[in-house]
Amino acid sequence: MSARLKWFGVGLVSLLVGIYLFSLTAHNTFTFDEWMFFTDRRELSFHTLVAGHNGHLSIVPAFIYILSFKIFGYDHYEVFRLLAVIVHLAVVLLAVDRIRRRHGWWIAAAIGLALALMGGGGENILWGFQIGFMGGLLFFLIALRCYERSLETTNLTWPLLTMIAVCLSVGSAGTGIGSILVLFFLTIRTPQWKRLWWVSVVPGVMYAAWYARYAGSDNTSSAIRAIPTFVANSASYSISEIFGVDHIWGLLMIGALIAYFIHLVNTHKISRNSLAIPVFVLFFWFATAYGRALFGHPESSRYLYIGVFGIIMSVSESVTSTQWTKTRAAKMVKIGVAILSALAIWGSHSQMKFWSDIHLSLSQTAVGQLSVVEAHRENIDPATIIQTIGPAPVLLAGDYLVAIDSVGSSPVQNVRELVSAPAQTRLAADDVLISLGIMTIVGTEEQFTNCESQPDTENSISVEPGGQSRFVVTEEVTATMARFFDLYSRGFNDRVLQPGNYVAILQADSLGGSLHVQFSDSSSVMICE
Amino acid sequence: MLRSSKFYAKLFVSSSCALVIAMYLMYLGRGNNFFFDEWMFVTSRRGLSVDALLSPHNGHLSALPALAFMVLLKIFGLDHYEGFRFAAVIVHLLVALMASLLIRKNHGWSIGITVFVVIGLMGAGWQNIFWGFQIGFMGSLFFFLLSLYLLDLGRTQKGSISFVLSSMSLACSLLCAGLGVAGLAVIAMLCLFSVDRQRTWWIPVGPAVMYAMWYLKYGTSQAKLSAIDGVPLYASESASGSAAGLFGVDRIWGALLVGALFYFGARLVIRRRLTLRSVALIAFALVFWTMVGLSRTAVWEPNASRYLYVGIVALAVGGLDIVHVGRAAGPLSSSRKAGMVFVAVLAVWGSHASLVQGAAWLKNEGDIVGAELAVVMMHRETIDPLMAVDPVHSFMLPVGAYLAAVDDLGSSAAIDPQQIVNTSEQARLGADLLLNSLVVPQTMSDPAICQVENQPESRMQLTPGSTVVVKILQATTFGISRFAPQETSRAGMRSIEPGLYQIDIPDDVVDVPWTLTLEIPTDVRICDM
Repeated sequence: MSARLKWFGVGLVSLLVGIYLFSLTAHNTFTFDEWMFFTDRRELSFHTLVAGHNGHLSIVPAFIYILSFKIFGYDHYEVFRLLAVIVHLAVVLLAVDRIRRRHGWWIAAAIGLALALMGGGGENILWGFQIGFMGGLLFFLIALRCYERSLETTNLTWPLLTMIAVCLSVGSAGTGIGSILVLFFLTIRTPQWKRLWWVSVVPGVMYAAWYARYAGSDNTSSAIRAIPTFVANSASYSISEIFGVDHIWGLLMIGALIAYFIHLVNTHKISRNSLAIPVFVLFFWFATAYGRALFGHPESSRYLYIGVFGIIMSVSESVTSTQWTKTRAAKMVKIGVAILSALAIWGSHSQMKFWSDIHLSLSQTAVGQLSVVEAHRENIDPATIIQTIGPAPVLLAGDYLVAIDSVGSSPVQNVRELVSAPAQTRLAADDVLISLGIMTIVGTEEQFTNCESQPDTENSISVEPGGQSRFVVTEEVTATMARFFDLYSRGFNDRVLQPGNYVAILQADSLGGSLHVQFSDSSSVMICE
Repeated sequence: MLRSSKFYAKLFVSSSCALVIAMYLMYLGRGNNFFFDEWMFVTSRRGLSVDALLSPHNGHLSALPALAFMVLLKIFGLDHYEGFRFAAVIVHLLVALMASLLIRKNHGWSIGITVFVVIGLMGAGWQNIFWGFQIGFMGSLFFFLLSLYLLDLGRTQKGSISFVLSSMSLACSLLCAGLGVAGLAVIAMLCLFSVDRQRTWWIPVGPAVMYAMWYLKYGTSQAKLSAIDGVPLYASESASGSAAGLFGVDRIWGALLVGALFYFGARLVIRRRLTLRSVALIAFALVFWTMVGLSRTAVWEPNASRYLYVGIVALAVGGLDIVHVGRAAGPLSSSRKAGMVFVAVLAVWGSHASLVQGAAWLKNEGDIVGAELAVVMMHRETIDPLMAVDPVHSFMLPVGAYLAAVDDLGSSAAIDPQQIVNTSEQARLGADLLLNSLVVPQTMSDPAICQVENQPESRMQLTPGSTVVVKILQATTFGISRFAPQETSRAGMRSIEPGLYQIDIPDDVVDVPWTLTLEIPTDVRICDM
C-alpha cells in the first residue's frame, strides 16, 4: 500500500473519530473556566492576552477565544467544541507520526486509535477550554519535530520554527513549560549548542519575564513532602487510565517501567533524544505537584491526558523493534499491540461517556439558569452568583449581562422555550426562579374573602406569568413549586406551610409555562378569589 | 569435626543478633495478655483429645498450635502470658533463621544475617510477632521454609534422609495452619516438575494424603469461587502492601517495587533464566494470596499485619532468589553487599515505628481485657455466665467459659483489681461496662417506703455494698460509672420510667466508690428510709 494511500486512510479515520468526538459534545455550552474568558477576555488588549489564568500563561487560548468571540459571538459554542477535537487529533497525529517512524504503520495506527479515543483524557477532549492545555503538548511535539529537522539543515528556518513552537507551547498553558527545559536539554553540550542555544533560551527568558510580572505561585512549602507521592500517583493513574483499570495496576506497571528505564540507562541503551519526552512528562508531573499537590488530584482527567501521551511516547521512543527480525515474532508483536489498543479503547470508553454526560449536564444547567437571568435582567442583582467552581464564583449576573450586551449575542439566544427543554435545564431554571424569588409563596396578614374552592384533582393550583393566586392553609401542608420541571420532584423545592394566608406569585416574563403549586393535602387548602 | 575460627565468629555474631532481637521483642511485648482467638483455645482446647487437636479453627487445621497451647497452658497457666509471647518470638526467629539460611546458600553469610535482622525486626509483621496465638501461622511458614531447605539439601547431598525430613516438615506446616496448603502446592510443584522427580515425587504425597483425610472429616471450605474476580486485585494489593511494609512506607512505593520485580522476572523469563526453584517463594506468596483472596471476601484486608508477614518473608527470600539467577555467576561485590546492608538498615528503620505501635496496641487490648476479667473475678457469683466479657475486645469469651478455665487451670488472666484505677482509660471503661451489667434498678411497689424525699445532685457517690432508693418523677436517664468518667462510658446513659426503684451497689474488694449520674436531677428524689 502506498504511503499516500495510507495517509489518506489516516485522514479518513481521523475524520470519523473527529465526527464521533464532536457528536459527544452536542448541545454543550460554556462551562467552568470558560466563563472567566467569557466575561474578562472578550476584547483584544495586552492585558487580556498576558493575564495569568490560575497561574498559567494563556496567550494562545485567550487569543483564540477573543478571536472566536469576535467572529462567531457567544451563540456558536460548536466552534470551541470543534477546536478541542481538532487540537486533540493534531496531538494524536503528531504522536502517531513519531511512533510510525520508529515502529511502522501498523503499530502506529493501533496506538493512534487508542490515543484518539482515550477516555482517561476525556475532560480535555470534550471541553473547548482545554485547547490551551492540549496546545502546550501539541506545540511541544511540533517544536520537537522542528528541532529534529533543524539538525538536518544549516539554515535558520527550522530553528526559528522550533523557537516559535516553543513560544506557542509555553503560551498555551503551564503544560508547555517543559518544552523549554527539553529543548535546552537537547541542545546543551552538543555540537549544535552554538547554533541552536537560543531556541530554548529566548522562550525561557520571555516566560521568566512574564512569570516575574504576572504569575502567582499556588505553592506552599508544605507541599514539598507531598510531591513524590503526587508524581508517583500521576504516573500510575496515567497508565491505569489507558486501560481504565484499577490504580494498583498502574502502580505495578510504572514500577516495571522505572526498572526498564534504569536498565536502559545501566546498559547505555538510551540516547539524549529518546529522553526528550520522558523529561517533558516528568517535568509536567513535578510542576503540577509543586503547584497542586495539596489541593489537586493526580487522577484528574486533564493531567492524565498529558501523562498518557507522555508514557506511551516515552516507551515508543525507547523501545527498539529491530530485534523482532522474524516475520512471525513481528506479527505477534503487532497483534499484541492491536489487542492492547482494543482493550484500551474498550476499557476507557466509559470514562469518555462520563465526561460527555458531565459536560452535557453542566451545559443544560447553565442554559436553564442563563435563560432566567436574561428574561429577568431588570430585576436581578448584578452581584448574583450564577456559576461557581467549588466555592469560588466564576460568573456574576451583572458581568454576564454586560458581556452579552457587548458582544451582541448570547449562549441561550437560540433556546426556543424552556417548557420542552431537557429535564436538567428545566430543573435549573426552576431552581433559579425560586432562589431569586421570581416565583415564590409568601405569607400575608391580608384577609382573604371568598375562599371556597379547593385545589384541582392533582392537588395543585396554577399561576400565570405576572399573576398571583391567594389561598388559605388550615392545617400544615407541604407545597411543591415547579414551572418547567416535573411537579413530582418532591424534595427539591418543597416548603412546609403553617396554617395562615398565602400568595403564590410568578413575575411576568416571556419564558412560557406557568407556576404550579402542588399541596400534600388539598383538603387543608382553600383557594380565594 | 573442628570448625574454623571464622565459623565460630559467625556463629557468635548470629547468636548474639538472635539473642538481642529476642530480648528486644520480649521487652516491647511486655504486659500483653491473651487476645481474641486465643480465648477460643483457652476455653475450648485445654484438654488433650482428638477433637481438640483436629477441630478446624476458622477453617485451618491447627493441631500443632492447639497442642502447643495445651502444653503452655499447663506449664504457665493463665497468669503468665510471657510464656506464650516467648513461644511466638522463638517461632518468629526460627522463620527469620530459615529465611537467612535459604539466602545464605546463594548470597553468603553477610546477606543472610542481614536478612535475619530485617525479618527479625520486621515492623509490619507485629501482629504475628507479639501475639502468642500466631505461633500456628508463623509455625506453618517456618515448617514450609524448613521443608524447602531440606529439599534443597537433599538434592545437593543426594541424601534421602533430608527428603524424609522435608516431607515431615511439610506435614508439620499443614498441621499448623492453612498456610501449609500453599507450601504443599509449591513443594509439589518443585518435586513433580523437576528433573529428579523420580527421587522426590513422594515428598508431598504423605502430607497431602494426611491433609485430605483431615479435610474429609473436619474440613469446611472457606473459599468462594464467586470471589475469583477479586483475586488479582487482592494479590496485587497484598504484594504492594508487603513490599511497602518491608520499608514502612506508603503502599504506592511498594507497588512500584513489585512492578520493578515483575519487570526483572519477565526479563529472566524471556532469557529463559528462571527456574522453578527460583520462583518457589514468589509462587508460594501468590498461592497464599489467592487462597486468602478467595476465602476472606467478607473482610478485605490484604494489608493486615499477619498477612504482610508472610508476604514480606516471601518477597525478601523470593526476590533474592530471582536476583541470584538473574546475575552472572560469581559472588556479590563488597559495594553491592554494602548497598544491600544499607537497604536493610532503611527497612528496619522505616518499619520500626509499626513494631512499637503494634506492641503498644496489643498491650492496650490486653490491659482492657485484664481489667474486665478482674471485674469478672470479683463478681463471679453474680455476673451472667452467658455474657461476653467484652462485646468488642473479646466477644468470643463468655464469662462462664472463662471462669471454668480459671477453675480448671488454677490461675487467672485478670489483673489485680486494686490496679484497675491505674490502667488506661479504655481498660477502666471496659471494667465499668461490666460493672454496669451488675446494677439493675429493682421496682418497688410500696410508695410508703419513701418517707423523706431529697433532691439529689447530678452526680452521687455510692459506697460499695450500699443500697439507694430513688423515686423517678418523670422519665429520665441515669448512668453508672466507677473507674472512668461517665461522659466516656461505653454503657452510656440508661433510660428509666417514673416509679420507685431500689438500686443495690455490689460490694467487692476495691474501695473505689461508684458514681450514679442523673441527667435531670430535678426529676429524681432520693428516699431516706
